[in-house]
Amino acid sequence: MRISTGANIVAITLVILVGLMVAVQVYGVTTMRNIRAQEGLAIRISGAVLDLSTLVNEMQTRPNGRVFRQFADRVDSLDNLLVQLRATDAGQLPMVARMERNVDNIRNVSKNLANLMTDNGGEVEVPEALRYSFLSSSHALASLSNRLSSYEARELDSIESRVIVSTIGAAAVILLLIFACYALFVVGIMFPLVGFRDRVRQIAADEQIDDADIARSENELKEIANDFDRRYAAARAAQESLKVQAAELRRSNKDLEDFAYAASHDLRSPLRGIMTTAQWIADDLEKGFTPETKKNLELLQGRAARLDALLTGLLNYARATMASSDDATVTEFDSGGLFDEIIGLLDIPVGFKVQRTGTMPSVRAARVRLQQVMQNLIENAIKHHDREIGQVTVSARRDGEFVVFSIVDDGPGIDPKFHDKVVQIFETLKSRDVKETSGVGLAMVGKIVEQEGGRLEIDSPLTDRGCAMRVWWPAAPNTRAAVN
Amino acid sequence: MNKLFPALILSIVVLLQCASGARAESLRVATSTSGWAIWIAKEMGFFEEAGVDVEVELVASGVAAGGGLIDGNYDVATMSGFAFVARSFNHPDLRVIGTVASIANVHLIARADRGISGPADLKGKRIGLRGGSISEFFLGRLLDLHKVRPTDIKTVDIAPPDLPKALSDGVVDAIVSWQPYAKQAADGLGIPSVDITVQGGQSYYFDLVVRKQTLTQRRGDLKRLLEALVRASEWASANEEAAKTLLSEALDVDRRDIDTFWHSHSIDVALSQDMIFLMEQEAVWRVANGYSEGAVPDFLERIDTELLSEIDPVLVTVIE
Repeated sequence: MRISTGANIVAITLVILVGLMVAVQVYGVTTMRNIRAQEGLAIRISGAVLDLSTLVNEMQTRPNGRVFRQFADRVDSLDNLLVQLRATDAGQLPMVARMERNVDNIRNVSKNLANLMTDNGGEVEVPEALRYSFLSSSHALASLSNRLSSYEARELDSIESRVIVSTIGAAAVILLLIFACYALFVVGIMFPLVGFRDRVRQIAADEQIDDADIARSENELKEIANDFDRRYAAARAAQESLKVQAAELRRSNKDLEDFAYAASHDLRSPLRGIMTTAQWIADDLEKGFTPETKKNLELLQGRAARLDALLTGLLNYARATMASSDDATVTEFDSGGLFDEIIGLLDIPVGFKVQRTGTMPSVRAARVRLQQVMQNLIENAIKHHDREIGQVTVSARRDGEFVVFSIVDDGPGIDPKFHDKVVQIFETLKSRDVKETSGVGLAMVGKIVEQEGGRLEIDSPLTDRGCAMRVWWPAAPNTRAAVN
Repeated sequence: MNKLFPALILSIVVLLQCASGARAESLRVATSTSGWAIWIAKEMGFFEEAGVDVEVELVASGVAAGGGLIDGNYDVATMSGFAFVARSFNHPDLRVIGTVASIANVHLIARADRGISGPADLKGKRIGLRGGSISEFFLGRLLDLHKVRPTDIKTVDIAPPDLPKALSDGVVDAIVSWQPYAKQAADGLGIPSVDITVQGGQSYYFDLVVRKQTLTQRRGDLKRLLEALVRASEWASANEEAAKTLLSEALDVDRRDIDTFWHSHSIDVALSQDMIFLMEQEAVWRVANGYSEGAVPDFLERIDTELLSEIDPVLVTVIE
């Protein structure tokens, strides 16, 4: 239960109970007051009836004007008592109505007596009919007022009991409610707060936090705890992400440093050559155009071509590592078909054979980037082959969540101590004067594979020659995270 | 032993049947439409809840109920106190165990065109009534109070249902009767009428009467009967409108008539001192007017106050 709902229920219940208690008390006091008034009036009516009976008896012995006046006055007061009795509104109305009828009859008796007094000049004997009439009504009135008085006394006891019982009942309910409030406070507020405090302490001490719910009931504190947990989890995830990003940044900085070094070293080398050659040409031209001059000009052209090749390689590397959105479009395609397409694009020298073996699986990947990888590896295998006749075999197999592409050649192979070096940009195993190359191809392959969540594996030499380049390419793009 | 065992079983079966038969015997109660408390208790199921099996039979009047009680056809009969007094001269075994109502419904309805505006104008007039009934008793009291001698008027004995027509036809100058005939007479007259309450303020009682033998033999059932009637009285007092509707439906009486008669008919299970005083006056009147013979009974002995006192002593105000 929500704390606000619980608090509202408790407040409303308390208000209702207190209201009921007040109402019961007011009702009890009002009703008891009315009943006491009615009981008092019933007793006074009994007294009045007794007085009237006494006066009727007196009339038998002293029938004079004083007795008749007293009788008439007492009847008037009896009338007045009945009016008050009717006004008390304490129930027993049928009985009150019967009392009124009897008082009416006594009033008639009184009128008859008054008429007799007038007719007989002050002293008169009460006729038997009048006496009987009076006695009948006075007996009935006395009986009724006695019963009324008894009823009221009993009703008073009953109401007092009911008021006491209802007050005790209401007090008991209020006590229960207070206990329930305390239980609600402890379970719904205290326990979660203590749990919350412990969790904050664990976080402050960088301890493993308890997975248990802080609050069992669905209330505001649970919402706060859940929100806190979510935010804490998000903060932890952000922290982890920052760590990864920091590592990536460090590696990126290292790449940048390597690149800067390579760029400064390798790009400056042909430039120095061009500058030296240009100096030589200048020196030579002072003597005239000699065969030596021609050789130097050719050398100058070669250095310029190398610089161009290096810059082209650098551009390709940059393009490959900063793939455009088009290049990164993921589609599902047959890798065998892709291989055939690459074969069609390559200018394969005579004496070389490029083939694929086995069934090549279908993959879901950025097709353009996989093509760049495969094409570079095949070109590399042909380019660095040391014989006129050679063979490059391409195959692919599924291994878990990866497709492993193998490009195997029968070339000279790569000494294992250079396996790391060959994937660095501008690194070449032979002098560019011996083998003209940019040193970008394998570096670009390594970078793309890494970016796609795969890895490049170099296995060479296979026996005494040959090299196997294995590319572990994610069968589906989401595999990248797993590899990372 | 072989012969004794079946005989023993048979005896037990017979005894059990007798016992169950005794338990199942119902209390036969005869009452007229005036026994409102009895009809309410019956319709509300108060008898069953009190644990007494009551068989209520509707009779035309208290006279018929009293006759059936004396003949042994009923265990309990309701009748006016006046009817009880009439029976008590020759049937000293009758006992009143409580009242079921206090009634003030006897009226004198007079034709205004015959010069009647008050009791004193009744001299020389023909008055229709049921001879020997409570109507005649209360008329005597009225005449006595107003110094009109019985010989100054001429009473005509007419069955109550015929009284309205006798008045409207001019056969009599006035009638004295209880409800609903008094109202029917006033309503059906067609000319101005004069309504005089002959009872003054004094009510007469509608009593529960049993034979002494029944009081002895079935005391438990009678107590439970009284308990149910006390409950009916309390229920009617607390649920006036519902009680009127119930009576209207149970007795097939127009609801407007029930409304009219309600205040003059107090459902009240009690035993009060004024009831004895009234009985004695009625007995004296009956002897004086030749309707009964013999000494006036001691009515204190003809009333059993113990049953009702056991239920609620407040209900008994008889001075013992």
